[in-house]
Amino acid sequence: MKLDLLSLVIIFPIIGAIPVFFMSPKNKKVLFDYTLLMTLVEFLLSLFLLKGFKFGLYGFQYEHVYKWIPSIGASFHVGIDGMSLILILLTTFLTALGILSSYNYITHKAKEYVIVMLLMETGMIGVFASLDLLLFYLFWELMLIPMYFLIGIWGHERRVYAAFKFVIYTMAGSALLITGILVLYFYNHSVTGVYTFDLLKLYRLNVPYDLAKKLFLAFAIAFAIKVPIFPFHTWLPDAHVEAPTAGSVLLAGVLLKMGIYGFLRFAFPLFPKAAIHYAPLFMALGIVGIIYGAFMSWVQKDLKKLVAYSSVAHLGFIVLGIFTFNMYGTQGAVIQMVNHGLSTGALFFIVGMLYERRHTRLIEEFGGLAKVMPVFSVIFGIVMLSSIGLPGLNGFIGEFLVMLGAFKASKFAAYFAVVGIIFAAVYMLTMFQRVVFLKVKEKNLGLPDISLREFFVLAPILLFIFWIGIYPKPYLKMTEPTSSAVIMQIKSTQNAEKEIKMLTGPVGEEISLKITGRKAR
Amino acid sequence: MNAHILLPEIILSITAALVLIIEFLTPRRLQFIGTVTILGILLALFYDLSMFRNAGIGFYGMVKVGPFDRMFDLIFFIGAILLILLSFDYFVEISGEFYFFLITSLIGMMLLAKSSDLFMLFLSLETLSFSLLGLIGILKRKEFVAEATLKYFVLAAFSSAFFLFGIILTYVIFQTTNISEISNKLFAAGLTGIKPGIIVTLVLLTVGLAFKIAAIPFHMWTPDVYEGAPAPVVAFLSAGPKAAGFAIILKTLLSGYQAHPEIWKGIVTYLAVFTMFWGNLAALKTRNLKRMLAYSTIAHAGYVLVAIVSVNQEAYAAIVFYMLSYTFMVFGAFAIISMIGDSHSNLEDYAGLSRTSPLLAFMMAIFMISMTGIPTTSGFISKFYVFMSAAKTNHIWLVIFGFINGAISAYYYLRVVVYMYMMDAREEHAVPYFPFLRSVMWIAVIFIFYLGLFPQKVFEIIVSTL
Repeated sequence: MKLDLLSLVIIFPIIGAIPVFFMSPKNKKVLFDYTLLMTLVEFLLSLFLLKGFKFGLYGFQYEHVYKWIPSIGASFHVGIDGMSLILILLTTFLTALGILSSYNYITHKAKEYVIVMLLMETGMIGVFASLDLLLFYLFWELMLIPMYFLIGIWGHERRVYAAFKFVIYTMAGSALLITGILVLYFYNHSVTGVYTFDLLKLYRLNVPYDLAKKLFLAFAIAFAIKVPIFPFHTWLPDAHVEAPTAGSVLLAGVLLKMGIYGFLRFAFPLFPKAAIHYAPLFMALGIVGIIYGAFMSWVQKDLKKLVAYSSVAHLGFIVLGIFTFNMYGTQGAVIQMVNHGLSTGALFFIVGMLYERRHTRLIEEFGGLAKVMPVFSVIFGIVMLSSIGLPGLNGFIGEFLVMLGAFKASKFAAYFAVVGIIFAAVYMLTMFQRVVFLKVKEKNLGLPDISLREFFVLAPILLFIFWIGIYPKPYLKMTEPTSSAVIMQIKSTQNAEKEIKMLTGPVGEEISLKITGRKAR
Repeated sequence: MNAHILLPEIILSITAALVLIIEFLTPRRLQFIGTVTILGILLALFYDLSMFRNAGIGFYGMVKVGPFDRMFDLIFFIGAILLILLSFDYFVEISGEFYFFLITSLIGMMLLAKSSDLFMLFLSLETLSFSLLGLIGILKRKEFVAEATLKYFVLAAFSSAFFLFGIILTYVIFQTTNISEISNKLFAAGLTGIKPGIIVTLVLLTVGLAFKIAAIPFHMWTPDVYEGAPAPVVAFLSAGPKAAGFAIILKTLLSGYQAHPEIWKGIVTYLAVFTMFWGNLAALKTRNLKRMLAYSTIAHAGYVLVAIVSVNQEAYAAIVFYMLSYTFMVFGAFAIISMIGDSHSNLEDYAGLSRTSPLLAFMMAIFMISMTGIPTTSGFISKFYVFMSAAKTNHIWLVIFGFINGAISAYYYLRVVVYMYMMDAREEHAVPYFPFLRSVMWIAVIFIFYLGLFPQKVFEIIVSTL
């Protein structure tokens, strides 16, 4: 059986983890060097995916089907489109940086740590590449265990509590998801007479409205817990705060995106009418998330908690974006997923670096860092501004597009979202001022500036922060077919045959014209 | 008489007699007797497999053998062999009667799965129960053993009485105890006039069966027996006899009363829901690993009952697959419990295990994760298969309850992992090296991942026996 590139990308981290079992746990440096190498090779492999990827094509590429459990119609069916690819790249990118950032942070059980990180990488990539519902569920649940270990073993004081909360929340959501999958599976059988979990075959199904509403809710609640959308968000601050730096980065950067990805890849195309039906509800919840997240961030004393709640606000934007069902909103949301992964990931790295120096994350403990750590402070400033959404940096692109989309879909929603942006500036700038400016506290006087290794953790992220901010066209172009396919699947609900047709993207042209001020191509 | 269809059982009976004679001649030679037992079992297994596809009725309609029953035999054989392997390292000095009881319980289980008459069912049930008593009480001087044995004995007798009442009432109603005749009569005559009688009968039968599989509210014996009995025996108890219990349910409810599932479906549905929730919720507070696994086995019985409610072909296959995968999980977990020591089975005793013996901690984590039902392990596939059969017949709420219970159970299974990986030991002891216990552990892990990742082959075999 010949292995294709995409499957190789999925299983490579696990293969890379096998030699670790035979390595000595004593020599931490060797372990980390080896794992860094593996994650870099993995990143390289994912770049090969990008190299062979044909932009502007509709449908899935690198599609491959291997037999898995034919008797129940489950197969190892993988394939990617632009959205999957960009998220896979984000995953491999952040995992490598996560390993690079953990050289000093991880003081015990280094061997277990690298195994867990590699296992998690496979899980995350698998989620974004599965085109089979059972396979998707497998990776979705598989993710839980490494994350559980990551929080539980290498986390902070309340780590065990946070780890449990994370696992049990997600599993409760998954209960609905798997039930939904099973019901859909048997409904498909009753219509077509075929037992299959294949997503592309299930896309053709026209689920009756009543059933679709229930199934949509089952899927949506599972995804909403993962995102997390407002009333289901309570696990997030705990998990984020207690997780080690690399755990927080992957949690914010990748895991939260799995929920949004689930909406766009599964919930919307499978149940388009129900999605339209529930859109106002979810838009409202998204807005509540934006405002609530902002307010909660504002009052936090703990830096990491502040970043965690800012995630709730950012994810609120993304949710708002995907439920606008127009090109601006969806494209903005997809690009914002990447942006949030980059800026919030970078923020967590920064908080982790501060924690390594001072062993505290309380904002009041810092102050005047600009004097003692000038380079660090500049980078911190840029990342912070990107998180607020300053024009010229990546955050702006996503938020602006979401705003446009929201304005087209519902002016009311857009007003609230704008207010959210203002609040974002308020809490971020307040925090930044208190940490970086003001008078230097005595305890902070001797802090070393950013080390070379730390610089190499943040520099690649900065590169992308500027790149996406100044010239987002390649990124938008990569995800454009996905977004327009999702919208077409929703909008053409009357059309029983929801085949994705080839078409060029006039909307994409329009977007890039609006943002960059120049004509595409 | 068609005696050859019971050839495996006959071989086993001869082996049992042989074991007693050897024990009499050269007492207490554990490994020798164990090896003889294994050879006998392998011979029986060989004949069982060579006759795998042969179906037939024998002993004047008392037994009916088909490939599906032989599938159950396979689970029993695996359980018995794993138990013997465990016993080599676990027991220092016991009499060879242990293996005698093991073989007779094996015969009891095999006959259970093959009996086609309620009386035959009862006889094999008693054979099983009494042999198990011998296994549970084998270490006479160990603490709690007397309590465990007595509790099991009293409650087994109690439930057998109920079962026997059920059989007698069945005879009163149908003038027969043959299962297929009952089924035929029900199909032909319907329920007119006999419905109240049948309901009483079914309640009595179900009580008897619920005891065997430890369903709520007949589970009271489980935690005490699990705590008191030697760890290998507990593993055997929750694999083989439990599978046998489900085999009887399939015989009586699904085969005998299949014409009118509506009269027993209600009872079993409630039984399933309560068993799942009660088992999982009770396990949350338990701090002794053996007791915790006792409650977990109750919860697992609840999951399997969900399959019975769905009354379809998938249910049969799902139950066999579930019990097969559960056998490996439970034997793996108890192999490690045996290594750490029966009397050190509190959660605190597992603190810091990842430091003292990383391999054992890692394996235990896999067993716990598999029992939680996380994908890539057989625990997930088996649970998924069970709930799939329920979803097929539109028991959506049962499916949701089932998976929510998975989330609840994550708490206590993963708590074991917490102690092993996230807490430090008060005092560190090295765990001695036990070759046989380790081999069972490896076998269990290999099969957990094999069934979890590539279940297709086993699915095919099971489905082909239906």
